[in-house]
Amino acid sequence: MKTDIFRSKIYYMNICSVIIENSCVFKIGRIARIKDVPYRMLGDMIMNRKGKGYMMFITFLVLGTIITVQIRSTIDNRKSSAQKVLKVEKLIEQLEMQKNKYRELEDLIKIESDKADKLVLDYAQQHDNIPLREQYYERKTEMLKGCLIDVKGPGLIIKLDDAIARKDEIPNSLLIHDVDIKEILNELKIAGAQAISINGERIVATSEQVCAGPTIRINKNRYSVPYIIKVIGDPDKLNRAVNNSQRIAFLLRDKIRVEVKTSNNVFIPALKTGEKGLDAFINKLEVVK
Amino acid sequence: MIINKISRNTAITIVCILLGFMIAVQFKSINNNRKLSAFQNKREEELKDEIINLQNKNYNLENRLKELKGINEQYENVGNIEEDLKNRLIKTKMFAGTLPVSGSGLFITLSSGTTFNVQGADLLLLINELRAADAQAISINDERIVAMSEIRAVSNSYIMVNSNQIFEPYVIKAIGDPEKMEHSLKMIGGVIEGFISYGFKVGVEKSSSIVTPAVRDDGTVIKTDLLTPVEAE
Repeated sequence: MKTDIFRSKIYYMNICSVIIENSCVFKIGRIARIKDVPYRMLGDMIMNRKGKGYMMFITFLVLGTIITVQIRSTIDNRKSSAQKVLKVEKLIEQLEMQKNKYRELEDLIKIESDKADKLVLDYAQQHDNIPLREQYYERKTEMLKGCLIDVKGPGLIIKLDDAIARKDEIPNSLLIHDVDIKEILNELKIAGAQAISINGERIVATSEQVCAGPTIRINKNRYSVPYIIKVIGDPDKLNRAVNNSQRIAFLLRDKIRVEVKTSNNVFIPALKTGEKGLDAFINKLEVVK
Repeated sequence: MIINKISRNTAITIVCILLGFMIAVQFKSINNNRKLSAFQNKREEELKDEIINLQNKNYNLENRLKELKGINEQYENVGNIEEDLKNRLIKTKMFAGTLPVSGSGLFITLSSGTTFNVQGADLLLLINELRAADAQAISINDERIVAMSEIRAVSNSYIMVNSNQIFEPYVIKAIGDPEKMEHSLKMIGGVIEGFISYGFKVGVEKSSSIVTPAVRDDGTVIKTDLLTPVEAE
């Protein structure tokens, strides 16, 4: 939209400059024909041969200079923008590399912690240590309760996307806000949701949903639209909750794009404790004796 | 003579039109280029930021991986597996909310004013703000907030949390960094300011001995019957 206005401005300036140039020429022409003394002197100066020669000379001088400058600036710009594109491409490549590395490391960490689990279980089996084995399985159940295990089950996949830009509207009403996400999540929880993720971030007890510019921060990572909410629970109850949701009705009124899909096999990943492990989530807590 | 004059005037006119046109084109192209390069600079900065951010994360991940490998080596040499598992079980329970925990944090009381009642949305807002300020354990009127805890306003007199009725005054306890949480609640235009403008009675106290109870662990709050664990082979 901005560029349109910009373009039209340039267009007007273009027209204006042409008009100004034209009117100058006509004025000079007219002045020359008027017989009034002061004007005539001016007219003679312009219209005599010598004056005309000078004028032509100056005009072509300016024209030549402008053409040269124009060509040079165009070439320069093309060169520098080509360089910049190359630089941006390099940066994007680097970013992809780092992203791949991140994924690789995450996988390796997962393998390593699975290995730890296996070692514990093997040890318990070998030594017939029943309490240890029980503890192992207890920990697994606790992990399931604490959103630390990947799960699948029946449920919904809800896709939210900002409305298509419309003119003459407050842009705020076209966007999805943290409040919307927060309330939808609460409505899903009321309907008995058992596991929820947004764009692959598992919702745990301490998961925040905060607007940060055009993105929403979840588990300290920023995500932009579309938001894909995956939820496991009784699909009928969840569907009813979505259909009766005031929040979603508001979103639909504002033409926010909402897609709801029922699935028997929704996959929801565990919380990514990656960088500092679970300790970072509980280092300020002490067990009450 | 007259024809000569006319042709000259025409020539000058054409040249001037050309000149005007060229100036306009020149102006436009320079402006466009400036805008384009500004956009590219911004994109470059954003990309650099993102790369640095990821580099830091990757560095942390590498350290974490080393740590885990160390633990596994210990396990392989049959170190203190039993002790270790016990610790990990406790940590998991603390995180899941199935153990009562204590620590320093905030003690917040909230009750309705004369004109407005405290509603579910207000509590939701408050809790989200505490989460954003890195609270590690939260409870409302001794209902521990876990991943699937709902906050439902049923009537003006009570709110349901973890499918239990809770009544005013609402007591919210949060364990975490007290300074950070207080700051984020009390900032200008923040949650507390909003509550005061509604006429709510709000009290925020820092404390070094906050206790949040465990979640009711009878399968009514944390339900897992529809969840099938997906585990790596």
